[in-house]
Parts: sequence; C-alpha cells; structure tokens
Amino acid sequence: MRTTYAFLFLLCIVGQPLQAQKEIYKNHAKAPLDCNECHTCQNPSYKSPCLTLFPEFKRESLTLRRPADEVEALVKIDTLMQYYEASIFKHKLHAEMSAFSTGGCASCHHNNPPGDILPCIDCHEPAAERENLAVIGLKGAYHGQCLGCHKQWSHKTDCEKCHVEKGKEPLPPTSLILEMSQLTEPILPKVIYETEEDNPIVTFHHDAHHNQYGLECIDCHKNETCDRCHDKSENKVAIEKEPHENCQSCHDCDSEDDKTCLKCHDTKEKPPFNHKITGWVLNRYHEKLECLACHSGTRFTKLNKTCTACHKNWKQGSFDHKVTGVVFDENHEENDCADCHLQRKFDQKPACSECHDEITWPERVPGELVK
Amino acid sequence: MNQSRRNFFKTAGVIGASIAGAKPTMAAAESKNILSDDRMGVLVDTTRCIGCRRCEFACREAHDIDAGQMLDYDDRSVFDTLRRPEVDSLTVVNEFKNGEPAAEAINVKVQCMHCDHPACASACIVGAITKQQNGAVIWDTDKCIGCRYCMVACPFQIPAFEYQKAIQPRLMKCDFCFSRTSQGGIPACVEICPMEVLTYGKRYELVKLARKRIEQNPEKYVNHIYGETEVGGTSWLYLAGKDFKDLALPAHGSAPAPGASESLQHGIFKYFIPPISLFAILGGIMWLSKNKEETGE
Repeated sequence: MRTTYAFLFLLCIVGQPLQAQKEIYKNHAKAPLDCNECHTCQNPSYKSPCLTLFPEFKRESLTLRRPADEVEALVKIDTLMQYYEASIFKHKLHAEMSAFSTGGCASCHHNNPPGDILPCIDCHEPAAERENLAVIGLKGAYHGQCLGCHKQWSHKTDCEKCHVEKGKEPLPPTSLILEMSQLTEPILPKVIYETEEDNPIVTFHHDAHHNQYGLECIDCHKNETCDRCHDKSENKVAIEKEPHENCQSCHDCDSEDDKTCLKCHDTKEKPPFNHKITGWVLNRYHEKLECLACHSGTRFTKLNKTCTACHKNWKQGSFDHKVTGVVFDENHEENDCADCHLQRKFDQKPACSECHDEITWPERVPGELVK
Repeated sequence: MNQSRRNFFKTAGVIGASIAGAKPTMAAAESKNILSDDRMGVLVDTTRCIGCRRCEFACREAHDIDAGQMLDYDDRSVFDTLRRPEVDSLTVVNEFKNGEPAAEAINVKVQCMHCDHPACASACIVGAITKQQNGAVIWDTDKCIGCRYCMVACPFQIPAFEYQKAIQPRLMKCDFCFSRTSQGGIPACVEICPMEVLTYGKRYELVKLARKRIEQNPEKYVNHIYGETEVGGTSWLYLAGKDFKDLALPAHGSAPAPGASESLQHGIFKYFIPPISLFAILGGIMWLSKNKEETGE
C-alpha cells in the first residue's frame, strides 16, 4: 500500500508515461524534485523517510483515497480510560459518508504525507503547554474533528455520546446509529420545486435518476455538508444549493434559449421521462432495463435501432422467436433469420417472397400468433 | 489693598494648573514599564467555541467557588439571557444567533481582558490593583477598601463586588489564574477547554498566530484581532467570524482607557508635592500681601 501511494504521488508530480514512472520511483532522487520539499533530513531512507509534516504540503495528488470497504470498520479510542469508558468510532460508516463531501478521506486525514496514514498524535501534541502554537493540540484536534459535524447535527455538545462515564453502560451502537441516521428530510421519490419563473414548476424525479438513469448518489451529492442530511434541530433548514448546478452537468441549459429551459420548467407537474417521445417505444423487455444498459456515458444519444447492434449473438437457434409473438410451425423452424429478415434488418417487415409467391406478412403467418 | 480677591484666585489658579500640567508625562511613563515583551495572553477563537461551558466549571473549581456537577453545565438554557461575570462566576459564556436560522450559533467567553493599561488599576485610589509582568491584572484584597471605582472605570464592565456580604465584601474578577500562571502553569479554563478555543502563550506569539489563522481562512474570520489595539491592547485577544459589536464586545479605540484623567488625577497628588507647593505659594502670596498692607499703612 505504501508503495502504491508513493507511486501515485510521483505519477502526479512528474506526469510521465506509466513505464517511466516506475523507473523514477525506484530512483526518484534523480528526478527533478527538491528533496527538502518532502524530506526533513539529509539522508532519508526507506525505514526513516523523515517526511515533512504538513500543512505546507498541499499537493492535491497527496489526498488520500481509499475505497470505503477496505478501511477499518471500528476504531476503539481508549486513551481516556481513567475517566471514561472507551469510545467506539464507526470508522467505515464515516468513510462512506465522506464520499459525499469534497474532502473524502482527507476531510479527517488532512495533510497526510505519502505513505501510511499517520495517527493524529504525530502532528498534534497532547500537552496544552506546547512549543508550536500554530498546530492545534491533540485534545482540540480530536474534538474539532468530531464536533465540527456532530454539533451541526443536534446543535448541542452531546458529550456523553462519545464519553460514557466510567462504570456506566455505553449506549448500544445500533440505537446510536439509528438515532444519528435520522435524516433532515426524507428521501423523496419526486420533488416538485416552485420557482419564480414564467413556467414555475420544476419536477425532479429523484428515484428515476437513481433507479433508471443509473446515477449513483455521489454522482450528484458530491459537495455536501453533514447537516445537509443530518440535522435534527427543530428549525432545520436544508440549504438548497445553486439550483442549476447539479442538473446542468447532464441537462444542457442555456438561459438565452427558452427551449432548453422548458425541458425542466413547466406550468404543471411533468411526468417522468417516457421513451416514447424519442420515437422508439420500449417493449416489455426493454422497459425493464436501466438506461445505461443501452446508452453509455451521461449523454443519452440516439442508438442504432438494429437489434443485432446490441444483441450481437442473435442467430438461428439462440433466439426464442416466441418473444416476438410468433411461434413457427415445423416448416419454418429450421429457417435462418436472414431467410425472412432480409439482410438481418429486424426492424423492417419480414419478406416471404424469397420462397413463396404472392404470400405476404402479416396476411399469412409462418406459424401461429401467440399474442 | 492692591491685590483684590479676584486677582488672588487668578494667580493661584494659573500656578496650580501649571503644576498639574507639568506632571502628567511622568505619571504615564511610569505605568508603562510593567509591559514585558514576554507577557502572556490568551487567544480566544470564538469560531471554535461550542458553548460547553467547561471553562465556567474549571474557573469555579480553581477559585474555590462551589462549582456543582460538571454535567450541570450542559444546560444551554442559560444562553437565553446575556450574562456578565459575577462574584461567583468569574467567566461566563454567552451565545449569539448567527443570522440564518440554520447557521450554528456563536459562543463567546467573557472574562477580564487583562488590559495592558488597566483603567481599574488607574482608578484604584489605594493602589490595590496592579498589572503584573506576566500580563495578569490582579488585586490585593487586604489593600482594597471597596470603593468600587474600578467597576466604574473598567471599559469592559468586568469587576464584580460581593454586595450581598455585610462584612468584608470582596472585589471579584478573573485573576488570570495568577497562582498558577505565576508558577509557570496555565489558566484553568485554557486547560479544560476541549475544543482549544483558548490558546495560552506569549502575547506577541498569539498575535502572530491569530494573523496566520485569518490569513489562512479569510472567509472564516473577520480581519480584526479584538484586543490587539483596543484600549491600548489587552492580554486576552479574540478572533471571530462576525463583527465584534454583535458579540457584545464593545467597540473601543486604541487609546488606553485611563488616558488624560489618569494624568490629571495622579499629577495633582504626586508625592504630595503639588498640594504642598500650591499651599506654599498661596502662603507666600498671603505673606507678601500682608507685608504690603503693613508697609502701606
């Protein structure tokens, strides 16, 4: 892991092709880098790299990124056992939530140099009487990390949520999580915004964006504060962001062109997207698919309508013709697709003229209609 | 009689004023030499304060005032009213709304600012209040006669008085935990503060630290260190994200609060020389005029 991060670090700094990177990592002392920018001693070694502790170091490439399912689930903090029971920090849960913020892991693990994740105490001195006043003390750092968000949640200090008095039974973690997970507002399947425009109603089909259009929560919620979702105070006000910001990343919107505005703004509630308007009515099979099963990327552009453009392995024998509503009789069972669907153009009317004179579809059916 | 009564007062007034006017510079110069470069201070970063009021608890404990249970201090209903330091609470935390209903409220700790040029010490007619080398403004209970001039003089309305005590009522205010800080310790409130709202250190270092914080987070702080220049500078310094006036920290100029009144007040009685000389001159005038009268007759 250490190697990986160091490697990534160099990758971003030097910006050379991948093969070259590996070589530079091995001999990065020869790279055009200023040693003192990272190392504090003259002769750093692998075992004691004497890396600079920040905050001067602010390269974005150093921001920690680690998938939430790879991190430690629970962290036991038992440094104050003489006063309180140990607090159990739900690390993975917080790591998952951090994906909604701009900082990600670095919202807590700030200014971590390349390599292992450093414990807070490496930078934040525990004593109140400390040499370097510019770096906040350990106690302040810990409380700042937790309360920065937790006070937003309840608008109280809630000391006992973390510090359970010695000898007392700590709150069961599940109940605590349940309580904490109360959301500021419910996740609505549909949100109707009333604006002050001429066409005041904007309907946002929240569930369709996730279930059908294939968007993940973090695709839109990527710059959120904790209290956007968690705020249990009575006068909570979910702060709406600049309204066009999120939509515009997919929906073209030009304030000069009214047509683009009307896509979202209307005088009444809009139904969710119906594929019919594109001129391609979805059948019962296609209807169930997520948009991204056929369309790729975030731009849903026109696709090739030929069946085999997607169904590449369709040929005689591997396709159950019954789904089209026609079951072949024994005379037609063995036919190749192209015998009737000339040039395998499945969207066009099948032709009987290759074998039969004066017989046309759909006056005569090569078998039985089942629907 | 050559010298009329009117003339006599005129002469006396001019002489008296000239003596009083000559003294002020001396008085002001002498009260300054207590300001050591190494004097300590506390930086209060109100943007970090969560209003847990543990400082109030620790302060009472450190000053032998009944502090009750620590958990009692979680009661946030006290924030409904604006509080001032009292005889049994030498520091208090107040809460201020932050405009928007959703924005986090702002908590501000209040205590003696430990002025570099303390008006209380200046007003004290028995010299009980003194500014110490380490920055603390403390008082000698044995010297204090309970005149409460300090309470009137204080630009921050800090000193409190034990009115409810009939016998030996005391003046009470934050003493910068002098028994601790004079021995190299840190104030009790600073020690307990979980959020490190309070940073104890040399005052000049704290000013630098405060500047750095403003520089690094210009959107978080208003560009002003309250106490850096207010009333000539104070040992306690404040940072905030909102105008200090809205946080009940009064807008003061940079002139030391004692100012001209101190020079006059001290000058008039300095070593008792001015009054004695005044009476000597008056006596002289009287003697001269009497002589004249006698010779004239």
